[in-house]
Amino acid sequence: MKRTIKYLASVILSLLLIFSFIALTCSVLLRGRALNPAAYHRIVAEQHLTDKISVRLTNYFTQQENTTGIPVSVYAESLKSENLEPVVDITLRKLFDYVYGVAPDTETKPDFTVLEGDLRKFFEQYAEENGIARDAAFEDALRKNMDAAEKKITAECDVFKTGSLAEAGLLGKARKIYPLTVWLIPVTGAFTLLLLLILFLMYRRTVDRWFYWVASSVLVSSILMLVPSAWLSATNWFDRFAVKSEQIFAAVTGFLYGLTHTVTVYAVCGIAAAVLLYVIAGICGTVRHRKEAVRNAKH
Amino acid sequence: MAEQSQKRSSKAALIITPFLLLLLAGGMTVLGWSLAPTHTVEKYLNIAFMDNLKTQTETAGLQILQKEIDTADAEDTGKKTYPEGKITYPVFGEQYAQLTADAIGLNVGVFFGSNSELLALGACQTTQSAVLGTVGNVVIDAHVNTYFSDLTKLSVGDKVVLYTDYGRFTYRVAESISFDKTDRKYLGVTEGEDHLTLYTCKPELLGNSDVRVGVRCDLVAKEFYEPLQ
Repeated sequence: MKRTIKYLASVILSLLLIFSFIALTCSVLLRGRALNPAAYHRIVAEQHLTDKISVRLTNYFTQQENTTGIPVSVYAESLKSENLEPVVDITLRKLFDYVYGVAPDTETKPDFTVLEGDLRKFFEQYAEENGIARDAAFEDALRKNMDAAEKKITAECDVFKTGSLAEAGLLGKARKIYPLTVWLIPVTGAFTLLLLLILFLMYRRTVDRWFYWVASSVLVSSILMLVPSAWLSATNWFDRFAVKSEQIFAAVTGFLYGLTHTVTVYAVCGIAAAVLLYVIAGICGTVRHRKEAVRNAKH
Repeated sequence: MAEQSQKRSSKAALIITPFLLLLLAGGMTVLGWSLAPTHTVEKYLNIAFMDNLKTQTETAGLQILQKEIDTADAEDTGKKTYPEGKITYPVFGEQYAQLTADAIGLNVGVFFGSNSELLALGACQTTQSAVLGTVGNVVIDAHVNTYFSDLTKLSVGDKVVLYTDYGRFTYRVAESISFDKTDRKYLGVTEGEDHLTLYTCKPELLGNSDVRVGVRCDLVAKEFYEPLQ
């Protein structure tokens, strides 16, 4: 009876430990990846997003040439990959400033000095060649074109769709939840340690059994993380996102696949750790049984 | 004996326990997932990341068909024409007419359908407007910086002729028009009346305009090359 009760208690503690391990892993991923701007900057670099943005914007302004009369060559300098990087950086920075509670909104004001200079130069040259007065109407037309170009470039550089996320209310929720996430790792970590300690106290005389229960918990938690992450990767599930912009699609799916890959790696490491713990449990158990056999033989 | 039986059940428990834990934890996970508000998360993900348009470009699947349209007048060729006749309905992307206006030296192909790629090649007829030869308002637009640069130089009474493979359609300019880009007054259906509406962007200094300018023409003659059966 006593053994049965101890076994059932161990099962319950192990179940709690399983979900505790999963919660701890998710907390580490949330703080280390999802809420860490460095992870997003890495995606921008790995996916060559600024190159994709440059191509897309060049095509756009080429198509617009017939309507606006402004040749795409006017925008050439502004549309270079290295000049688009600061715009992408600032939209990312503003996204996290908002989520962290530092900024009141996600509006960005990138530096478009080069673009405005090139447009002004073209407009003034055009006005001089065609005898157009540089009056208020001229400045108004110039400003309109600058604003339209800046708006388009900023929108294309918003690779993680900050605007859409904000409109959908997701960013607002993330901003509210963020202060609580600071406690995630300490709380889940402390709870995990507490469960390990309780299990240890139950099996302090038979440490091999403690290793066994911990190994079983680690194994099951790793399998529960591995199965969905492997399925998501194998079926390319995130490709179902229908996003018109190639760079946004690459950014979003790149981030999600990266996250999934990390979970898979953690899960595989967890399984390896579980196997090691089982081996240690086996060794400790063998040593204990030998000691007991020697003790029994003496008596 | 009892000790051996205990040892056997102990070993069995050691083997079964991880599977039992997997079953219990897996079941609890599935139950929790079914009760969790995942539809809310999915809704947000759809709003944020699902564009209405496909991931392909605007021209995915577009077949552009350019062709030579005979613009020789029927009198010159001795071809017999008919006031009513067969119409060959065009498909999106097909160049199905040639638009001419001698008063401004205009001679441009007309594509059925309008997008940036077709506008780069010629004038475009909106698919919602009447096909040439049918009753209604034929609406054609083009870029002011290219094919319709002299459109506003057309005067009342100037002749505008559209040639197709199945007939020739002559119009006369009735009025000059100007409207906001959101105004559908000149672009809509005209029940029982045959019109031709040509429009383009009002030339600004540079850049996009919110105003559209052009001409509204009345039908003068329909000349089909093949009669109705």
